[in-house]
Amino acid sequence: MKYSLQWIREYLTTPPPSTDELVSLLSRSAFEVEEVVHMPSLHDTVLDIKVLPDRAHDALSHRGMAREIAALFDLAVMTPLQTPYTPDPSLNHVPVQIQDEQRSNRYIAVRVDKVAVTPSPTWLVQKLETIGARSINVLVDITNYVLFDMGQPMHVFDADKVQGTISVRVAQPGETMETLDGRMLTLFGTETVISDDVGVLALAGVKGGKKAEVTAETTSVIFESAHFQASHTRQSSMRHAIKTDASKRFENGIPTFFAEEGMLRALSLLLQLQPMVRISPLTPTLRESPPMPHIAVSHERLQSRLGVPLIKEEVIQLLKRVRCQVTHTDTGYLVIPPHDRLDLSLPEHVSEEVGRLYGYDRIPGILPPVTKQGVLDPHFGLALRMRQFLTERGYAEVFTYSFAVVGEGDVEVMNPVGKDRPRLRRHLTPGITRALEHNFYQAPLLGVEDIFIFEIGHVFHADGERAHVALGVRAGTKKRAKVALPIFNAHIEALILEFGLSGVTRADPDPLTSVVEFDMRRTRSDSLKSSTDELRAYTLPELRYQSVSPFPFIARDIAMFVNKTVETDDIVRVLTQAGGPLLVRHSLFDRFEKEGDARVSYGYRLVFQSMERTLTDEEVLGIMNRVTLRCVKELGAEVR
Amino acid sequence: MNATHTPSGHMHPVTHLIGTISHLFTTLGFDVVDGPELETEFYNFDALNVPKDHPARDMQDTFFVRADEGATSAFGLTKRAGEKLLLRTHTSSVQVRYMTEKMKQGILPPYAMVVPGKVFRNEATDATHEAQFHQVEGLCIGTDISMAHLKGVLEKLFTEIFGVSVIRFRSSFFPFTEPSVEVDMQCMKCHGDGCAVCKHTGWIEIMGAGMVHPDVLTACGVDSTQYQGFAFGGGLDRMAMLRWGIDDVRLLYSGDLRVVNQF
Repeated sequence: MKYSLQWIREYLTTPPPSTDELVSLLSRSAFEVEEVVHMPSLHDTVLDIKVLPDRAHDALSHRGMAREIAALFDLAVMTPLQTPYTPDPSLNHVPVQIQDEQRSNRYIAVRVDKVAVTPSPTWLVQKLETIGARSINVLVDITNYVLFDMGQPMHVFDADKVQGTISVRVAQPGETMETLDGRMLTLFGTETVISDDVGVLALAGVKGGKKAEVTAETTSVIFESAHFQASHTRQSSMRHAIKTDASKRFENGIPTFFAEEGMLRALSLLLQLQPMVRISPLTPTLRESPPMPHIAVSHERLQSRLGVPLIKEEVIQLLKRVRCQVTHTDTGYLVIPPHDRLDLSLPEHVSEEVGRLYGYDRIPGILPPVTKQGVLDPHFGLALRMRQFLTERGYAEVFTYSFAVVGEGDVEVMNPVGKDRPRLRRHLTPGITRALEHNFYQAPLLGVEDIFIFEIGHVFHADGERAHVALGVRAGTKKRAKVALPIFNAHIEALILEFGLSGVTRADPDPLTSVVEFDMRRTRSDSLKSSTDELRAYTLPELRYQSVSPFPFIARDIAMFVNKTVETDDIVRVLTQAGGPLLVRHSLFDRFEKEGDARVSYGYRLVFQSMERTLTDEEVLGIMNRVTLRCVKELGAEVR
Repeated sequence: MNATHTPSGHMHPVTHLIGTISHLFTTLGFDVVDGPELETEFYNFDALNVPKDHPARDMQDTFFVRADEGATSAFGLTKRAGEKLLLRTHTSSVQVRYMTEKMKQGILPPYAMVVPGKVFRNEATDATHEAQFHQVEGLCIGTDISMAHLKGVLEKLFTEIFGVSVIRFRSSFFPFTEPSVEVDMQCMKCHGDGCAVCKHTGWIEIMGAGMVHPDVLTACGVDSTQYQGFAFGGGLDRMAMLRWGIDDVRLLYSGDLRVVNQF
């Protein structure tokens, strides 16, 4: 939510320190401040603060945030003056009927006559606009002001469009309503709605309806300030995909007594702006707020949880800053949280309040008193050893997607990442096959001719999840396949022998490619005896990653004769200098010398690629001409 | 083109991290534990104190898997009738499996374990977000395990991975820990002076942690009046990206050797 610093200051007897200090302490001890926007023309600063679900009930308002800031900086909070409200005895209170107190246990309605639907005064418009809200008219703005000021969502109906009794009830299945923004909703019959004798006025706690919309002609209104149960509000909001400032608050379970507070604030503001209005008495409410918990906190447990010695007096002072009532007990404290802190009910909650106000920086880092050596899960150990075995034999490890196309999986994801991959993979083979293909086209860039890869990962079958290993080869050419495939086959045999694997599946999609896959459960039992010694081999490589280009590369070969006295280092120096920054790889693919000849023949493959664009053939031809020229000039080469 | 060229192999950068972290933690006395990627709502949410129909569930967008809701088992998992199956959104589910299993065997705390593993979140993918990624989870339970121990262990971890021993806690919220903190480490590039890597703050947000919520211990059968301890969980892909300067998380799952062969 966006907060105006000026607005927050209305609640503080002394201003907080600099904005920097405010942002820093808030972010560390309470909520993350995501953005700070200075508005010099308004003499204001807007803070975008991320309030998480545990504190949404109290902190999604300027008053709540001011209280939090006061606690952090040990400042005093004040309550702005309110114009007292006197009901007009000649008016009846609005008839309200609550069908189910589980869904709404407080619904306060007030009828106000002789209202004028005018634009809001500049100060009110500015306040709302500063925090990104839109000014509608003075009546709607008052309800929004209350929402952002103290966190109670309100609504305003045109009183002349409400017929009979206002009832808070469960919707009928198939019942319809049109929202204020013109959406037609067909109700499921699970929602809580506000209705009159004729039809639905609002989706409770979520969105108002067109039926009783306040318009320029409105002269009498009904203000609503109510409490709606959290999970029902959330369900309504989710099922109709309507998220509003009101639903966001109700679904987090705001305090019930906010309803009266909110109504009184709204009426006070209305009286300031339109002193001539006539206000009915409030709907009588039946329930008291539930009592706050009495939390017994052990001093010893508090210290042992935070890991620091604490002074009792300091703990009490810290808890008083968050407006808790605290008394000493034999073992520690009895803590009663303030009525708006619904998140505090356990000693562990109290430990968080103490910890964050005390300062987590004051907690030292020490190692836990664990003396034994940890053990490795045997299957985990097997996977690590297998990785070692395969990388030692020249395989590169890949991770591919767990999500698969329909034909490659039995387990269906209900809300898939993409419509094209709605299943969980049954085998690793399809992913490995695709990775072989993909990397085959990158081979010149990689400087290899054949691709050897493997993956160890989970796959999903109708009878359960299991770990598989798959390895694959893609030979560079038919000629190379005669060498690479037998090597691959030998590796598989070695792997089977080493780990006692059985139940192989094999796929040979083309003469150059082969992939095998094993179920890692089907292994010899002694393969599952692992010690942590093998973890010693793992260290983090020291390197700086080189970004890969999204653009295609162009490979060109150069073959030349040079005198035997020319070193390959000299050739490489000339190639890289002449090739320039677009030359990303050079590899020697051929060297040959003839008896009796003073010259040696070299063949180099040069790969060009840009990080910014697709290279053209002409451009690379230009570079190759330059390379040729410099080889001739500087190495005395005869380029073929 | 004569000799058979055997290129040297390469481990995935995330594997390098998993191996190194597992090594460190076994020397600190932590077991390395594995768990299923396909999970029940109970292990992923309910036992971790994330109530149904609560906004806290929105903090992690979940992939649900089609299974017979009325059945008491599906895909090899035992479940309650009406319970949904999902892809775990965090490795925290393994905390619950681990503690529940130990208590069934009559083994009381102390417990100390880490879980490196794959997790899933249903969110739009970009250079820093992927629908599948890896996390490492840590859990340490005893009679007197504190936030000071959490800090000590994480200082070791970040020294091992980044050579940085300065960390700080910021107040946060997770349903399964109380207190909950975000863990920042001092920027490994500028050592706190402020640079592009840390967005000029001097700090890098690196994981979530806290003291295990008593309701989680209770759900696992552990007496929360006797035992307490910490848990932490952080993204291994993000650590890999920071450690080596990898600029796009999606490259870690595309099977692309232009990335892997650098390691």
